[in-house]
Amino acid sequence: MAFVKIDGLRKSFGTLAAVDGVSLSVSQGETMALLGPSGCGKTTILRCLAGLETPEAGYIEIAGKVVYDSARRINLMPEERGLGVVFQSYAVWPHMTVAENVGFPLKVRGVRDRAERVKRILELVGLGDGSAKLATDLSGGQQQRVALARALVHEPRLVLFDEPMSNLDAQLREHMRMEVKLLQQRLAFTAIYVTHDQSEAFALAETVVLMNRGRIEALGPPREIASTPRSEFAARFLGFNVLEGVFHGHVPDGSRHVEIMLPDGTIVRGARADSALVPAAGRPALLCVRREHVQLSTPKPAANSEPAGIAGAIRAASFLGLQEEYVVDVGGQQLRVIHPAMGYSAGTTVTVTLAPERCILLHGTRSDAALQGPHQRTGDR
Amino acid sequence: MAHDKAKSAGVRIAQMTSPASAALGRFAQRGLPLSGVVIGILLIIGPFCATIVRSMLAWDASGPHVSLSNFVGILTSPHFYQAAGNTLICSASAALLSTGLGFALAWIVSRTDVPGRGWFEILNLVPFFLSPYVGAISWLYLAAPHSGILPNLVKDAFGITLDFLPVYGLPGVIGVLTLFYTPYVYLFVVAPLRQMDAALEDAARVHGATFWFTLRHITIPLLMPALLSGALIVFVTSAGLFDIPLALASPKGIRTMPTEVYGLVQFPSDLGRAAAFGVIVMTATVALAILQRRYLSRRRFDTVSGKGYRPRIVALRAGGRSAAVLVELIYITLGVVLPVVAILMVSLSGLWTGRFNPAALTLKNFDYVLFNYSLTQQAIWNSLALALVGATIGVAISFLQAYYIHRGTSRWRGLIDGILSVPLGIPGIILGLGYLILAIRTPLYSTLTIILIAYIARFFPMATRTISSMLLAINPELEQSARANGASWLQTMRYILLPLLLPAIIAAWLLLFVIFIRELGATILLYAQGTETISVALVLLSERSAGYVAALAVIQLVMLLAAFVLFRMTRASLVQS
Repeated sequence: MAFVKIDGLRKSFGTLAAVDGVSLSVSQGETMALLGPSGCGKTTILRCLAGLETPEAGYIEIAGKVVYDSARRINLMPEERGLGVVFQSYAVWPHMTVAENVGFPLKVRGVRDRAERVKRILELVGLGDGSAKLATDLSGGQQQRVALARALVHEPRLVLFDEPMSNLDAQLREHMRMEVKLLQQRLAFTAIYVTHDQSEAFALAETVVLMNRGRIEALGPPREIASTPRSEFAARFLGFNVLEGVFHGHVPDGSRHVEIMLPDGTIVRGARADSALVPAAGRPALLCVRREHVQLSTPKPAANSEPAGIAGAIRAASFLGLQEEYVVDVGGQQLRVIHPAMGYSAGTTVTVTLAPERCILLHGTRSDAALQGPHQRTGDR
Repeated sequence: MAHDKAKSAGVRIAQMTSPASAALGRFAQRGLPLSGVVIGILLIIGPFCATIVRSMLAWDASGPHVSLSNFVGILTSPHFYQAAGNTLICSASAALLSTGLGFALAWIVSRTDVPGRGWFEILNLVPFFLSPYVGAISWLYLAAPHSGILPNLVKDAFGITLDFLPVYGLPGVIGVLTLFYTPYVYLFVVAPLRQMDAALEDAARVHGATFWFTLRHITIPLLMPALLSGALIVFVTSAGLFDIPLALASPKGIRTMPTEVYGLVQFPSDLGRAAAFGVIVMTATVALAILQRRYLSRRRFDTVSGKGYRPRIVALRAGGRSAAVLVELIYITLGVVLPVVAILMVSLSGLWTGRFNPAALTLKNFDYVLFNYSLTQQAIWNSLALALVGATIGVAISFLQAYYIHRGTSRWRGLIDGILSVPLGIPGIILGLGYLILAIRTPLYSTLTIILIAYIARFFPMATRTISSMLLAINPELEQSARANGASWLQTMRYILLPLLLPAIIAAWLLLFVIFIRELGATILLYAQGTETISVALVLLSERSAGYVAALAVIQLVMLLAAFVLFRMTRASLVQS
């Protein structure tokens, strides 16, 4: 039984379809992350759930209560939906103290034992002694906690998080991520996160919804989403290298492996994303491989008929600490590689080896190439 | 109902508000902001339509008929062209001079290390709060040939006759307009000057530009939008200002646009011609406003951002420092000190002869004006009532409009914003004429109510702008989070938005209060016996006794300066954008 049910949700801004017929369901106690680049519609869905945006069409049900239904012209106002929301800017009211901020949801509901509840929730988020401070005197991390406490104090059954960590520095972000996860387990609320940061989505959520241009691109458990992109957009967004080529043929060993030919004539082997993909020789194909899964080695004179790997040339190298990142030119296409340091410098010729089980093959339709070029795909800004 | 469940511990308290209060909330959220907009549009459309209709009506033996004869009458009269020419000369000169002076003052205060900057910063704004009519008559006391304080001082001391001081006529009008409107430009320029990224100017200096070259090619171009907005406001408002030409041009028979309209309404009145005059002025201002919107929307000026940069403070050399102090002192002397001193001197003298005699100090003018003369007593109460009630209603309407424009979802917000800004350019006397025509055969005629309506109609856009500029700086998520956390729209207004907007609301209220206390252009057409205001009483008394005028002007000055002091005490900001 779905706790949150979204059906055929549509919302456009001018001519832009921000949410283009999205259907989703979240079960009670589940944690879901809406992941995607900016402008993919994830925040709009969240705002439609909260009642801060009015969709054009669709149906939203929260905890068995219809909060929006275009067919029956139902549209509950935000305050009628009984949610908790953590905003990207935290939206901590600057003219109130911490306790007044956190107590606000109780005040508007006319709850009597406010002080007690506020104290309890502030202790829970680790702000036990700061309740008399003005909210603006707090650091970013503390404001985040105030926003969190305020969203939880009235014990809502659904809590929405709009990019809650994006204004924190990297260290604090990881810390808060853990705390939020612990709180969620303890208080057992259903949570929906919106984020453009894949590591945040994978760390927090049980179900990840990858979105692109107002539609759902992929939906599943984090591990599945992270390891197996099913579209070029997903591959690029998740930081895979994408090489273009054409299908060449099956590997005659009965596996799911398929050969594709890169423009320079090199043959590479990879695994089909799913068995429904039928590789007809000569059709455009895409080979997707994570940066960490590319092997580099110094070229040796090929003595036997084993596939010797692909010839490549280092374009740029940068030292990351433990590893090195290389940009490798492979037959005119660029491959980003994160590799144990080999000491290669620009201009070095190398042999690139791709393990077939690490490579994912997709049909080479260009229609969903939302992210152009290889540069801006890692982690979105 | 929320309590009962909440009382039992452990029960979830996240339930919804009751359907009845939700329905009320929905109505308030949609209806209240819209009502502010509707009232604003009606306030504008009413006098507009009345003026247009009246301008096309002419009477003959058989009764009224539609005719263009009013327009023909005006456009064939040489008086119209004299008045239009004089007004153009005055307002263009005043715009040019006050833009230069306003920029200089703003630059001195915000970007140099001149001593006493804090004081100059306060004093530069004082003329903004003074009455232009009182400013003009005080300059008559100061500089009128033969009777002025300054010519007499010079004559007594040096035996030189200073009867060439051009206080009457166009030079006098331009001079007083410039003194009075310089703070407008100052307000437009000082904020962007403070927020300008010093690196933009530094980059010019390190690449070889001199100080003056940088000022001319970097600083001033970057400030262009602010300077242009300031200059345009001065041009339009000074073209429509009735007070100063009435005091300084009319006595010499020099025609200007506002005094010409006033003349047409006086007995034997010709409302048809006056209305035609009004239609011509309205058309010109609306065209100008559209042009300005086009211009501003076409060009992008993103270099001056809202980021809190630390501006470059220029360390002036000794000569530059003296020059800067001198500019400041001259402006404050001419714009604040001398007029206030002159008014005080006249008000404390028994019979004004053009020379101040400290031995003959008397309070009898004040005694008469405050306690013995029903006209001035009535006028003081009327002005106070109009200002207190008008500012309160005006701010309420303005808040709703600002909310509708910046928080609403209507597709027409841009257009509505444009329509609601129209009164900014319409001279008070023209809008007053519109309301006169509208009210003339109704019970509203010759009541304080019609004056109140005209005040609000003419000046609500100034309050709307003050509130809007702060509303734009408030993250909407602050309100949204209140809604998402269970507060109704009304609760969100009460607990979140209004407290956050309070400084702007106070600033807007004080601004309207000050404007209403000194308004003359609209009032002069709408007052009747019993509904005189302080400004009207000043005009009526000006033919009787300088002492009464000055005493009443001092009383008005006290009210205006009280508003200024309150304004300084709150964190309110008048900065225009």
